[in-house]
Amino acid sequence: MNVDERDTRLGELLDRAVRGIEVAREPAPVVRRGSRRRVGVLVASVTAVAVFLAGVGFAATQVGRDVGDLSGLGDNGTFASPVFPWTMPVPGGWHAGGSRFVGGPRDMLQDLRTSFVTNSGATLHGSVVVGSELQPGVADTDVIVVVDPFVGTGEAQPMTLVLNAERDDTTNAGWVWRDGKLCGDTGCARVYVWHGPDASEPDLETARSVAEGVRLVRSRPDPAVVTPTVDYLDNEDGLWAEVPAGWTLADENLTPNLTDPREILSVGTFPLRVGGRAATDAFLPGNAIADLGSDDVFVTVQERHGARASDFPARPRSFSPSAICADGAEAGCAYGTALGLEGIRAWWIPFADPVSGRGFYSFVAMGEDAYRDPAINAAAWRLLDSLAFDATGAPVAYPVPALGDYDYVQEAGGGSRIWPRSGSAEIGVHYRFEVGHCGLAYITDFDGSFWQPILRHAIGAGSPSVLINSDRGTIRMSNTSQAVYTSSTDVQVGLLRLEGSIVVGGCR
Amino acid sequence: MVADRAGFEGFYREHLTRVVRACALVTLDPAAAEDVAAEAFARLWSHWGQIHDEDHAGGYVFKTAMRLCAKRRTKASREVIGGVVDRPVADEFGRSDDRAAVFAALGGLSVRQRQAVALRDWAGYPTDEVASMLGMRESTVRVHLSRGREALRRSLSVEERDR
Repeated sequence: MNVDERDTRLGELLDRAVRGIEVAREPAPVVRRGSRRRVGVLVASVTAVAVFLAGVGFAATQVGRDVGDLSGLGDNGTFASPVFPWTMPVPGGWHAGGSRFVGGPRDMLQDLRTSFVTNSGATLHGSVVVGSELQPGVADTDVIVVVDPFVGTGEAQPMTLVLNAERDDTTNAGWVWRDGKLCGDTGCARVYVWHGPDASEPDLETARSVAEGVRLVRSRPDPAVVTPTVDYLDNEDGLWAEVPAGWTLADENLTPNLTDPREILSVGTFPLRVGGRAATDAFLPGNAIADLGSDDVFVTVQERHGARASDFPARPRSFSPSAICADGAEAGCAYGTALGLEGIRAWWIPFADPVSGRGFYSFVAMGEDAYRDPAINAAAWRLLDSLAFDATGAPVAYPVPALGDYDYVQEAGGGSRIWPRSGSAEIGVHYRFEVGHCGLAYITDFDGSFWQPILRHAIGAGSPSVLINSDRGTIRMSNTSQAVYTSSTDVQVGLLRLEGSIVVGGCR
Repeated sequence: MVADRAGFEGFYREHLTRVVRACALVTLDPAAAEDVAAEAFARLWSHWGQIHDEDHAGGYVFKTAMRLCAKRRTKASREVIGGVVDRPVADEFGRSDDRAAVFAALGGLSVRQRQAVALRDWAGYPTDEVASMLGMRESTVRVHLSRGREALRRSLSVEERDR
């Protein structure tokens, strides 16, 4: 047959294979057991599609430090969104989490489904579906607040949630739930309070406060909310950054016609449009610069291909206007004026990264109000400070240094307290690393510390097998507190450094 | 015209399943297909104001989905920092013998071949539109189609359609 002709017989076979794939076209407030809540929430994801990622990312960084306990955040721990301003209070002692989010920020859009907080230590996996079968470990004393985003436009914006009347959970005896909705100009969220028959009144009161504290904010995030950061790892470009929560990470190259140097990171406090006419020269994304408002910040990093470190000034210990423009010459570094960009302060900062030996141009632009706002101003420079780069070329894997056997003491409450035995390692260097038979989430000892996979609490059926199985891969520190384990099958898992000893029991 | 944002939801409802199914034929993973479709629609949403009509929107979302499918396959099973994970592995849509056999056969094709076959033979797009969606020349699409069909027919014991 002519290859241009459609092969309807094959087409029919393919259709039979996928005909059974049905997806809910609207989010249902309660989904029957076994149905695909995730799919229903796809609808929800579209408008508020990126709403929760940083919240979970932020939560992940917090959770990673203390396995799900956000009490360290105090009474005002907050989930925050990187793209659409959205926040949810997290009471001290409550646990927070979110549905799966797989992929880096470039894949962030689709990957968040629900977020939740709960009063118990129960480990919840994936999407928490109100009205579905309770997950293992959830007790009748538990209270769970679930937040789902969904499409909603042109509606009123009740900034204080009003919960509807209680309804019976037909799946779980004695459990009930209430819900309410609130909308902002970026979308809506449905908030559920779901609890067991033995939930205490104080917990229920707290849950109501949490639900009523969910905010879809019209304006930009408060600097206090911006403070948390979201880890960003770009494997293709060998780049790690801590992006302020609430800021927008470009998921496309804003300067697609620029080949050398090549843009590898662009972040702003506003939606970033690709391309545009050159603002001043071809290095700058014209649309992004044109959209930069008085209270906005834009940061981009470009890499010069094949550059030698000696071609660039040394990377400053800490990026700041004063570090770049010595001797009170900061005004002269308000480059925007010279560029003809009225009302914008901007800096081109070339630097060589000593770890990777790569050469970069970073560009920071701020509107006048942002420049005068200490929190936003500082966040831009902290972003540059957080940058960590891989060395180019194939990594050389060394064995992980080790020092003797583990010291341990038996704990009265069970288990053994152990101290790290690994020797020091260097940032940016790949080390061969063998994960024991209990997996990466059990004991990961590297550079004199134990390390914890991010979202360790969320290990579930779909977790990478390296978390629970032996594996031989490589491990590399990106900075003093973060590392990446790359498995033999190229699964990559982020790790956070733990301080001091840990208590371990038997592994499953 | 679908420039009003309210119209997006209707478009979404109408086309979501089709996009998910197309993606499933490429990713061979319905759950990943949902993800890809969701992101494709999300990106469509961000450009909704610049969309002229439903054909334009349909082309955009399919093109985006196919690009993301390829990316997803390239990075299959790779999890990134901050993203550990809890992907259900079971196909909760329910399996069928048809699907198992066809997916197994599709698994023997390259991503490009699967894309070409899915868009041409399943979705029914003309070859030139498939080329546009996949960002390749028509001649290249024809090569992928030819090889993909041949491999599928061989695996599924399907005779070539009468000339």
